[in-house]
Amino acid sequence: MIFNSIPFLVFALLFFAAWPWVQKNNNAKWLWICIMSFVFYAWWDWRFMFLLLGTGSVDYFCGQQIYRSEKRKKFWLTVSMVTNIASLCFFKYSVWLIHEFNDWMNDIGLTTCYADTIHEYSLVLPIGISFYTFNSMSYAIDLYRRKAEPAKNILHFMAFISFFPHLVAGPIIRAKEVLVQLNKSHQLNHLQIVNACKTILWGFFLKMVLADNIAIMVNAQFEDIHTTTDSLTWWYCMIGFAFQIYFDFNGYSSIARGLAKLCGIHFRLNFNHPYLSGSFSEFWRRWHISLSSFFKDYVYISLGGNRKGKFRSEVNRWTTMLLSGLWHGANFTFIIWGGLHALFLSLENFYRRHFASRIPLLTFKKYPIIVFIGVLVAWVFFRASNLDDALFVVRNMFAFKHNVKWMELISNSATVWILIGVFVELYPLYKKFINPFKHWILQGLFWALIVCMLVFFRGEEQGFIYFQF
Amino acid sequence: MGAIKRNISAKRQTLTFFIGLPLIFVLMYFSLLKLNTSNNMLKESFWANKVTADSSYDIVAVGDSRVYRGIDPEEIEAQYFKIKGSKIKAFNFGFSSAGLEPYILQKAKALLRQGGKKILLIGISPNSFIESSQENGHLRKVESQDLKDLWIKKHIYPELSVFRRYAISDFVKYKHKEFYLEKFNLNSGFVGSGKLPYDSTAAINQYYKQLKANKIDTFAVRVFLETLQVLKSEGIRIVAIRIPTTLRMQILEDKLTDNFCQDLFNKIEAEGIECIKVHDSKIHSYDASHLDEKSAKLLSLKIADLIFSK
Repeated sequence: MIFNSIPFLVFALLFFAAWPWVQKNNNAKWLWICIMSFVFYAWWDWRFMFLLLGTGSVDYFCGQQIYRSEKRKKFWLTVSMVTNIASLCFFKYSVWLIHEFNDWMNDIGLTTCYADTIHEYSLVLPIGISFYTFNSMSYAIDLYRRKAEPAKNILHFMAFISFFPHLVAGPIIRAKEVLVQLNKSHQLNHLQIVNACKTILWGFFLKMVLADNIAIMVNAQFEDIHTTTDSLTWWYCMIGFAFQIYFDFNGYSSIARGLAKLCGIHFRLNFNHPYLSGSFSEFWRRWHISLSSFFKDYVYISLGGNRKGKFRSEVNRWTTMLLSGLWHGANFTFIIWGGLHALFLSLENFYRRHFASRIPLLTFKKYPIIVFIGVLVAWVFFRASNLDDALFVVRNMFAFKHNVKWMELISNSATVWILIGVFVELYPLYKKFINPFKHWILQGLFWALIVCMLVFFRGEEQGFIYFQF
Repeated sequence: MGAIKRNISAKRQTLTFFIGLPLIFVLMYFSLLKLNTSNNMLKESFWANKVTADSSYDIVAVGDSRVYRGIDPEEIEAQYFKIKGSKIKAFNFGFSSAGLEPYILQKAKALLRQGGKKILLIGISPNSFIESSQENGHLRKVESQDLKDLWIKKHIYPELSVFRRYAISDFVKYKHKEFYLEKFNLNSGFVGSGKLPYDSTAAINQYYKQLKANKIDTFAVRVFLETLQVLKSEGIRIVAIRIPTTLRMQILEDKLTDNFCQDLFNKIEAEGIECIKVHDSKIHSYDASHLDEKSAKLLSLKIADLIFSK
């Protein structure tokens, strides 16, 4: 079930209609969350519900063992990690690895037929697998590090793992933060309900009005990728994509946060105006915060972080970024995307260490434009379906050949939505000086306008980009 | 104090929101209505209806966009009633860029009612025999949707069609006084179409490019003729027609395909299958390829006359 659909509207109405009564009874609350979350997940394909139940059960059991036994906790952590990573590899990477292996063997003149051995189940990527696997892993690791308490019973754990707002596309949540909140009963006041509804509406606006309308231009451009060699067009398209993916995912995260808020649960902010970042490291503190902090806490720091010297610190950074790229998808383009960001971070670090003190005027903090350009180039690899396409786009972006008129380009409908997107993104910069929505009348009318925009100016219904991860 | 103030402000905001919402909605709704664009919700419902239609028809028209914009089943039904005094049910199973290959023909056949008239009306155009159209991308895309989605589109979307979507480009078209009219007839599968201003050459360039770049697939033609034989042997009455366009378009298609349509009609007739031709000076195409609603109705009436007066 996706948030921007009629079934979800009915589902949410049902869920929240019963919520005030259900949450008064502790057992009923957990059961209600589990049942409804499984319905939410099974709406897509009920068979994969058993995968969620299976890996969840293993993690719950391992978690109990990790907490109880100091001696064997490493063993049980390994069992949990292997289960999660194996299921992720089977469903997400096996087909890709087999195809790549086949290609390599063919290149050296050997014929293999491993592709025939691919099980039909591994051809389908269970929706949200990367997200719930990471939630599960964070639970086991936090228990291992004694940073969290185990779930009281399997119902509590399943409710945490499958809680529908975050289930299919995050944000990646931590057991130590969410289980505690789920344990409490929450009576929301009017202000909290209004804020939650605003967060949800804002998420829908970002996704359905901005992202989906910009997507029309971007998708059309990438569909006929080799027909355009004009540099301006490709820069324009990539700016469009940068905003499309941002609003798409930020929209989903906002809806998820708003829905959780309506249950009295607070999810941490997942995006914080990333395109205003003055450095690449800042970008990663503002973009997909739950994933960046997951990789930082569980990969980068586990590898030693920056405590083992400059060289090891670089190696750790590259490993983390490449894994982050691979997490996004089974394709070399995603690995290159991660690699490019690692390169930017390394260059930035190098510059900071050796030049920033000597040439203070050129500190990265003052150049969000440079960061934005770097991010745009990296997005090409994220969006293109293969390496050839990505290189074609990058080559044309930097060929500086113009055969399209400016006016023709910006007269595209997407320009309006991109401009609104820019206005939205720049909000922290101008809100101190101009805040037209300070008064409650304007606020009320603003949200009424947002609802009407959702009704009349929603783009063509499209799935969320991050569902595929 | 701050929390109480914020709570009061939130309550006032909610009040303003609920007062403002219907006002802004009505204002936007009526302002946007004058843009006169196609209703996208009805459009989606229309296609969902097509692929989920049941076997209850006496006559089914199949082909590309010229068919679903050019043949109005309700006119055929009405004309039949005039001629014979009894009722029949007709349906239009046309899809964009449809190729006349066995899959779509069998699908169309499956819509025919057991014990009914069993007439398959096939709209022939050269584009239906080029390689790319053989995939029947549009039909398969609509069909490949989740059953739940199809159900929602078929049953819920028509009720929600007031919440239709608009695009920025609609404003641009309105500014240039360009209107593309589409009336989706959910039950019959026909789209009453039109364009203002009329441009009787609009599609020429596109068709020229398409037919220059794509040759007629002779294998597809052979398979088509074989499928017609199979259908005929199953007791289906097949009637083939070339939907009228403009003279310019007809000449263009004939030149670029070496009179493919005429050759095909000759072959079809040689197989003992009916071919009908309709010429009427009142039939107009608004873009060189598709008929406007009025012309489509006239054509349908004439088709019914030709089929049922025999």
